Amino acid sequence: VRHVFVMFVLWFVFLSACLAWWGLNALSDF
Amino acid sequence: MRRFLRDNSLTLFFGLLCVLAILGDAAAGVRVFNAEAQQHGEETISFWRYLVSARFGEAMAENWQSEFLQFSFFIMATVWLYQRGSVDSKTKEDLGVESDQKELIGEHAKQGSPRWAKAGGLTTWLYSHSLMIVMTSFFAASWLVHSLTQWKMFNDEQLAHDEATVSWSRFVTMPDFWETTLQNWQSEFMALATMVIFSVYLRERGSHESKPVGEPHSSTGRSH
Repeated sequence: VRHVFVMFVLWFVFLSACLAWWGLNALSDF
Repeated sequence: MRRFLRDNSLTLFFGLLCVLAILGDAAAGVRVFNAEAQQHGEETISFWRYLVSARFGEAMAENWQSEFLQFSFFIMATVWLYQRGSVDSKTKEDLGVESDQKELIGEHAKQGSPRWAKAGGLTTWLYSHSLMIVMTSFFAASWLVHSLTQWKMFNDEQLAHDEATVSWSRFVTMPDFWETTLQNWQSEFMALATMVIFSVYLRERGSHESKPVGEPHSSTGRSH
């Protein structure tokens, strides 16, 4: 079912984006 | 849209709580940070600046890594290990990786089975472990981010006190890092052990995390 797959992708992207965000900030932060 | 909300309500509920908790933690965290900054006569920062700080990232990733570790262990351990009477355990006869027939793999795939379950070879092997692969990958990524953010904060602290900074590879062997890491791990393992053994004798009517109220204590697993 497509709208469930959309939920899956959204959540996957959310997790990845958060980790990438925190990781990259750490490398360039105070 | 209605269908999207209804069919995904469980994920959306926890997803929304997660986002709200993250924002709430950031709102609290920036106050703590600024209170400390004022005490030391340093500059305060905005909420938005705090969102990109190592302090905030450290607080988040520290907890995330332990959650992904928890699920990785749980997924793996429940293949092989047994708790008689627990809703989270398989029956004794079903322990192990199971037959292709039971797992609906290859020629045993049925109408509507994922294409990768039918394909065979490496594709099916990878798909057979995709949950574990993704969970451990997220664990590795969040563990790395946790170590980087905490390392950053550790070195800032060292600099503030005119002390020597350390390399990342040195930091991940230091007790400072393992104290916070193991603090989080212990709580995850505690939660797993608790859930596994409590579900033998305790019930929540209607919950998928519980056996039916009248199910005997000796019944193991979910399929009764």
